[in-house]
Amino acid sequence: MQFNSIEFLVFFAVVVALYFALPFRARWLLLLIASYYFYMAWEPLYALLIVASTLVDYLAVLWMAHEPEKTGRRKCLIMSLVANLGLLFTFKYFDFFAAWSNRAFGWLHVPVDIPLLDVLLPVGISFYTFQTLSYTIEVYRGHQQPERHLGRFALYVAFFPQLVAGPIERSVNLLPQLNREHAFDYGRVRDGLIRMLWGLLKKVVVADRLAVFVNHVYGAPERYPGPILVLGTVFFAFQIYCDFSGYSDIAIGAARVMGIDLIQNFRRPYGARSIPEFWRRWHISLSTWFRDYVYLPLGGRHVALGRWFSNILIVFVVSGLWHGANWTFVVWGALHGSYYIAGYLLKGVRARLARDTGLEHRPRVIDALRLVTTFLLVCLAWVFFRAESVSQAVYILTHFPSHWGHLTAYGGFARILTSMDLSVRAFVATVLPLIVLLTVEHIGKDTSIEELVGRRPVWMRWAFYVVAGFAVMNLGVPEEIPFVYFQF
Amino acid sequence: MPTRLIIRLAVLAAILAALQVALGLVSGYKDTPTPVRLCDQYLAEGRPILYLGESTLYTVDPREADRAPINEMLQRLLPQYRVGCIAHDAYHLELYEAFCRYVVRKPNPPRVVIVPINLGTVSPYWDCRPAYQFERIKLFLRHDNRWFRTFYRPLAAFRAFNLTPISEREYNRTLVLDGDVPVGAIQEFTDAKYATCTDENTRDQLILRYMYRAPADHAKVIAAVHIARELRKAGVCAVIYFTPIDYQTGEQYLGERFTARIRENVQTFRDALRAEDVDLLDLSLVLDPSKFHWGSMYPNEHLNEQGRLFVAERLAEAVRARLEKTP
Repeated sequence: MQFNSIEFLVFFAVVVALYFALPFRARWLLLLIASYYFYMAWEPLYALLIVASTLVDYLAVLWMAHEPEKTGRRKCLIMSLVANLGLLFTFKYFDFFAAWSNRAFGWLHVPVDIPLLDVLLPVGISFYTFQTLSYTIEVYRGHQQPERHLGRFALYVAFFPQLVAGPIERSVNLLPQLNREHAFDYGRVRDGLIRMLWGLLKKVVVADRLAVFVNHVYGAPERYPGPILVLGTVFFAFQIYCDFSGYSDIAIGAARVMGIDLIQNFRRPYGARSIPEFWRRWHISLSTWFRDYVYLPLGGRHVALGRWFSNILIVFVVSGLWHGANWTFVVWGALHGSYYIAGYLLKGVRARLARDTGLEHRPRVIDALRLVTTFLLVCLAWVFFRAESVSQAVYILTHFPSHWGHLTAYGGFARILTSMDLSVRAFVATVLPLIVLLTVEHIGKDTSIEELVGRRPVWMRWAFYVVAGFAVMNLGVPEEIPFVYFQF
Repeated sequence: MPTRLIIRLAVLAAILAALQVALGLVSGYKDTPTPVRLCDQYLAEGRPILYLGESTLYTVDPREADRAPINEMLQRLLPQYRVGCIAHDAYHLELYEAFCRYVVRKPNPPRVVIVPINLGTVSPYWDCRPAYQFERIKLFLRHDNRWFRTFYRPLAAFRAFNLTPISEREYNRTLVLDGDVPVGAIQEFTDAKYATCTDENTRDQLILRYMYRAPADHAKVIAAVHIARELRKAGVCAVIYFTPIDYQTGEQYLGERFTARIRENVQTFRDALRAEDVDLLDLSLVLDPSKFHWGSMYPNEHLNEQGRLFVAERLAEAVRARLEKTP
C-alpha cells in the first residue's frame, strides 16, 4: 500500500477514527492488526518474516533477562544477530553472492554452480530487521528494559507508518510511546496532517516529476550529451531526497496524528558544508544506527589513525551494501568513506589555501564553496547509486564532459525533452516546484514545516493547504513511481 | 474536538473539488489522451470510415517514392468518403474493442470501422508487454463523461487505477511457447545476444513473434468477437482483416510449420467470429517477401510501398462493397 494512494487515505482515516474511539487498552491491538494489514497489502506471505523476526527478538530478550552472566546474554544477542542477519542475507544478498561465487568458480574452472533463489525482495526487510536488532542490542547493553508484552513489542517492530521505509526507530524512543495513552489533540493532529501534506508534495509533485527525466537519462545514457547527463544526475540528487524525505515526512506526520513522535530522518542535507555534516543530515536514523552499532563497537575514533580510516571505510561500505546487493552500492559507500577520509587529510591544506587566498576573512564565501563542493561530491557518488551497473556509472561519469556547447547536434534541448515525452512547459513544471521547495526549506532553516505553517495567520495556513493540496492533485505523474527506498 | 477537524477537512475537500471542476472547464480536460480527442474530432466531423491500426499502416521504407501510409492510400482510392485513422506502433484488438465500444455509444458513429488483426499481437511477446497495455486510453474510452475527465488526474495521482497491470518482472518471466511447448522465458529471447542477427537468432525471433498457438479464449480472440458484435448491434459495418505476414521468409527458417501455425491461428479467429456473421479479409498469406520492408533486422509485418498499396486496394474494395450494401 503506497502512501500516495486512495487505499492508504481511506485506511489511515479508518485507523485514526478507530484509534481515538477505542479505549487505550485496545489500541495496541488495533494498530497491530492495521500494521499487518498495511504490510500484507504487498505480499501476504512475507508477513511471516516479520512474525519470525519479532518472535526471535522477543524470545532472545526474555531469555537474556534471565541470564545473570554476560556470556549467557551474549549468546542471546548472537542468536538474534544470526537470525535477523540470516534472514536479511537469504532474501537480499544470497543471489548476489551466489552469482559472484559461480562466476569466480567459472574463472577457476571449478565445476560448482550454486542455484539462485530468485525470490522477490520482501518490502522493508532492511528496515525492520535493523529496528528489531537495535532493541536486542539496547537490552543487551542495559539501556532498555525488556518489553514483556508480546503484542506491544510486535507493534514496535511492525508499526505501519515507518514499517517499510523507516525512519528506523529506536526502542528507547518508540516503545515507551506505544505504552502511553494519547488523547485526541487538535493541534497535534493538524501538525501531523500538515507534515503528511508536505511529504506528499515532495513525493508526488517534485520527486515523481524529476523521476521521469532521470529515468530517461539513466535508462539510456548513451543517447544523451554531457550536459543532460549532468542535469539528470543533479535531478536524481533532488529526486531521491524528495522521495525519501517525503516518505519520512508522511510517516512522521501519520504517527504524530496518533500522538507518537518518530525521530527526524532528514535535516536539509544539501545545506551541508562537509561530508561528515551531510551524514548528520541525511537518513539520520540509519547513519546513527551504523554509528552506534558498528562504528563505535569497532573502536570509533579512539584508535590508531590507520585503524580509524579502515573503520570509516567498513561502515560506509556496509552502509552501501545495506542499500542493495549490487557493486554500485558498494562503490557508492566506499566513495563516501573516501570523501570522509580525504576531508580529514586535506584539512590543513584547505586551511592554508584559505589563508593564502585571503578567503579566511570571508567566511560566507568559504561556506558557499564548501556547500557547492559537498553537493558536487555527493552528486558524483549518486551516479553509482542510480546506475544499473558500475560500468554504466563509469560511462556516465566519463561522458559528463562530452558535447558541452553542442546540444544542437542532438536537436536542441527542446528536442531532447520531446524524446522523453516531455515539453518545455512540463520541464518548467518540474523545476519550479523544486525551487519553491528548496526556498521554503531555506527560509525555514531547521524549523519543521508544521511549525513554519502553524504559526502563520489563518488565511496563510489555508492558502498553504489549498495550494499544496491542489498541486498534489494536479502536478503528479499518473504513472506509478514507487518510493525509491522501498527496494531496500 | 474531532468535529472541528472533520468540518475543516470537509471544507478543504469542497474547495479543492470546486477548483478541480473549474480547472477542467478552463483547460478543456487536457488529460484526455490524444487518440481519444482525435476520435472525438472524427466523430464531430462525421467521418464515415474509421480505420484503427498499428505500425503496419505507416511504417515505410524512406527510399520509397510514395511514403503514404495505408490510410492515406485508402483515402485516395475512396475520395468520396473521409477516412479517419487512429494508429500507434503497438495498438491491438483489445484497444480497438475499447474504441469500437466508445464510438457505438455516440449518436453519430462512423459507417465503417476497419480493424486489422495482426497475428503477431497474440504472442505473449506483444500481448503481455507492459508498455502495450494502454490502460489510460482504455480508461478514458470506458468512462466517457466529464466527471471522469475532471477528476482523472487527482485519482491517478492517488493510484486509483492500475495503469500497469503487468510488471516488467512478470513480463520477462512469461513463457514463450512454440505451439504448446515452452521454449524459454521472454527475457531469454530479448537479451543482448539478439543485437546480432544470425540464423539461429532469427529462428528464435520468429518463434517468439509467431509460433504461439492462440487458444479460442485468448483475450485478443475474445476482443475480435466483441468488436464484431458491438459494431453489428450498432449497425456499423466492420471490415476486419488479417495483416500480411512474410510467411515465405518464415518458412525459410522454420519450414512449413510456420505457415501451418499462421493458418491455425487464423482459423481460431474465423471459428470464433463465425457466429457474428462477419466477412473476414484474410491477407495473412498472400504477399511474397518483395512486398515487405522489415525496418529492423528481424522479419516482421511492415510493408513496403507495393505491400501497402495492395492492402489499401483490398480494403477499398471491401469498404465499397459494404457501403454500397447499406444506405
